[in-house]
Amino acid sequence: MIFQSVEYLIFFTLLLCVYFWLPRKGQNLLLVVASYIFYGWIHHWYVLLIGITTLFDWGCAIGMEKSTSDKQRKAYFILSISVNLAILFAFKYFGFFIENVTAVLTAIGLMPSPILLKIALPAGISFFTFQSLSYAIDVYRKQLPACRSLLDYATFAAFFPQLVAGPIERAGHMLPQYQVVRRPQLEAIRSGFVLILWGLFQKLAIADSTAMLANKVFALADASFPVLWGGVLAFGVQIYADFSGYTAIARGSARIIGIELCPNFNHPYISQSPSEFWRRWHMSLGKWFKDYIFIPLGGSRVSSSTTIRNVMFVFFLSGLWHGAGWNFIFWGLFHGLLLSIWPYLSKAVPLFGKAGGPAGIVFRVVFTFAIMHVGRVLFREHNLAMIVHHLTLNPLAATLTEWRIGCGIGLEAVLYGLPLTLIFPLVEYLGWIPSPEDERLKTWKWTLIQSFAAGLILLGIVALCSTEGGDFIYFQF
Amino acid sequence: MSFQSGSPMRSVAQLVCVIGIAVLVPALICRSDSLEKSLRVRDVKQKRVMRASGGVEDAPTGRAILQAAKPEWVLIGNSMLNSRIEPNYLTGISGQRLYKLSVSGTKSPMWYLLLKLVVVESGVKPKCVTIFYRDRDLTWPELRMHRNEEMVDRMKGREQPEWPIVMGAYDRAQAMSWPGMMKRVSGTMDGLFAAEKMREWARWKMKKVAFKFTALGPEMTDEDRRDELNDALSMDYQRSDWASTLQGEDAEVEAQGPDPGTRDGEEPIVFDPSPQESFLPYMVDLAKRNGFILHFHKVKRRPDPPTGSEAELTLPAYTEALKAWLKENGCLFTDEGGETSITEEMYHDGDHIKTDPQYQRPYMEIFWRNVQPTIEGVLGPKARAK
Repeated sequence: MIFQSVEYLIFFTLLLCVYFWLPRKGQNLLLVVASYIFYGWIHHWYVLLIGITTLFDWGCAIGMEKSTSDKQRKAYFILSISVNLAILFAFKYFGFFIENVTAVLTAIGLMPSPILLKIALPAGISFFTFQSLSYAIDVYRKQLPACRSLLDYATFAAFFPQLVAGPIERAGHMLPQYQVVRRPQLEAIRSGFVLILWGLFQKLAIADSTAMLANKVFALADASFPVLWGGVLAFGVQIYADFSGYTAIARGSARIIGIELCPNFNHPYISQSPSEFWRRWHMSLGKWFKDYIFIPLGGSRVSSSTTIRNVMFVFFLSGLWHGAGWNFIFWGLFHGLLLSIWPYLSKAVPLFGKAGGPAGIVFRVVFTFAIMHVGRVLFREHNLAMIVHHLTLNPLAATLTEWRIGCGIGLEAVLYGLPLTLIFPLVEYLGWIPSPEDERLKTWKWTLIQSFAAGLILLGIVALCSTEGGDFIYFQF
Repeated sequence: MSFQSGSPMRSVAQLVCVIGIAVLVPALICRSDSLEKSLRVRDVKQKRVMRASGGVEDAPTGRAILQAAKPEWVLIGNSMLNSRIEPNYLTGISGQRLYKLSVSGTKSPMWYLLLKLVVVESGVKPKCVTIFYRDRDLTWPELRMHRNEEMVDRMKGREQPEWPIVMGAYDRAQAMSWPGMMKRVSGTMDGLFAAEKMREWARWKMKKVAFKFTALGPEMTDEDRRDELNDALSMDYQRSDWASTLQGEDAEVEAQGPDPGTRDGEEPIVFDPSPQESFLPYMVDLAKRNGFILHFHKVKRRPDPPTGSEAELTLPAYTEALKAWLKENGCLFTDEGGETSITEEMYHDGDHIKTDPQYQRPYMEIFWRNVQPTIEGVLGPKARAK
């Protein structure tokens, strides 16, 4: 089931009709059943997958806690991790692995018989696997007690708003919320409603509209420099609005039912460096890699060369997490390289550091934005030959007509993106977005402000909603 | 009952206020008279430069495009046609003034609507209309119809008198289905907000602002800029692996590969030309009444190993019956099925030819060689363009 559908509207309304009348366990049971329906709507068999991993992880965690020796504890931990990674590998990377092994064997003269096994990729498998992994690691590290209630754990593992595309939550943040009864908080419901509208606006009006531009440009056999980069800009706006929109709908839905999810974005396009960008973009994944990979490897409190190795490894894994393809691996390595050289660059050229005052800030924001969009080419284009073609285009070879078309595409994408990249940060900076606990929300003045803001957002959806919408991009990860 | 700050009743009232105003604001704005006036200005600007191919947004736009192009030969079809024919090259080798009227993912009901509402009603009077089809698509109007719904509505297909005769049972079944009910709900919501009008107006305004600030070079009207943009991004310039680069409906349609039933069906295929079964008799009738020749071209699917299914075994007899019926009714028929020079390596997938000129151009030469003897009598020999 997808958020931007009438089905979801009916599903969620029906859920709310029952949810708040139930006791705590009833609420969790309803959430599990609803989550399985939500996920099974895509494909019935996916329910089995999530059910099996839930049982396994829950059992292994209890096994870890009850273990009488470190060896036994480690065995349970390795079992849990192995099963999760094996499922991820089987569904996501097996095809890629076979393809490359076949290519290598063919290259050295061996002619293997091709294995024709096409496995459908379950939506959001990387998200829920990483969430399960974090639980297993936290319990193994004794940072979290194992959840004794299968129902509570199943609610955490399958919670429908964030099941398919995050945010990747931690059990330490979520389980306590499932262990208390949730009663309707009307201010939170209002705030969640506006958040859902805002997410729908991002998806339907911004992401789907810019997707039409980006898809057409990336389908061209021989795009010129300005047309290609106009399309890349459109894709940059699309992917941000798409993912941020999903997160907003997920957080809004969860908030209405009394669950608070962590934010995933913090205005990434105003970042002044690649490292700041990654602290603002897909924050839950960044924190996952930092806590479970980067810091255990030594983080940045080691020698420069080891730090670079750690950064490169983390981004290599991040690339692989995003997709089973060489373009994603190169995309990850590209960002690892950027992060590795940036400290040296900012020392050598002060403008890349903190110098230059407001003009320097503008320069760094624009430069970071531009360099991140070079990475977007690697992310969007799966064909390596086409990536080389795109990155070696000569701007001087383009005609005036091509510049006119490319600039038109780019500007149209920027216009669509303005509410997200400029107006929203400004409104937030001015303190006009109260949190659900904010006392201002209880006044009529702020109620009216919120009402008209919601009306304007809905007007934006109605007016700019694309008729050619697709799934959320991050469903494929 | 208390409406004091923090009281439950006040909170409920505030929640109702937020939801109510949120819904009312767009509904009132979208239904305002000034928007109506603004939209009327937009309607008269639907003019297009002459191009050799394109889809249609709606019937009036399609007619305007065709009136500008004035083709003598119109080709209608879906991605089978799109992947096979690059109109400029075919014009070059055939010398014919042609127009490719193709929309990916469409099936026979849409081809009929294109023929009736665009080709015939444009008044252009082409000498010949060629319809590209596959296997038994011509007499299977329900096939993938759910993907054509929006286009059919845009073309006002359901207002045509013959529609309920052919599609009545299908439409009734759809209306009772889950997607049908969902469609009605979203249609009601669209109606509440007058969404379609607002959408058209707002999206056009966005484009106009983008055009205004990127007006490089000679002065051009917004409509010319739009045509220039549409032309630059048209399917004519797409790469051979384009299906995998798209994420929208086209990609979904193309990625699905062979239709279920066309090769694998366990039921025998029987040709039935009755007017309740398909739009084929109506197409033929249109051609007779409007003085053009209809030509049906059956495309060759990739030579895959036989499935041995009933559908596959009975397809040759079906095709022979169809061919005889078409001939009886004054239509032309060609079949590239036996053409051995269309080789496996020319295929992008089970149905589509690679759009790379290396494969597409030889295909077009084979195509022209095959159809020339059949249709040149209708079109008349022309000087080659190159």
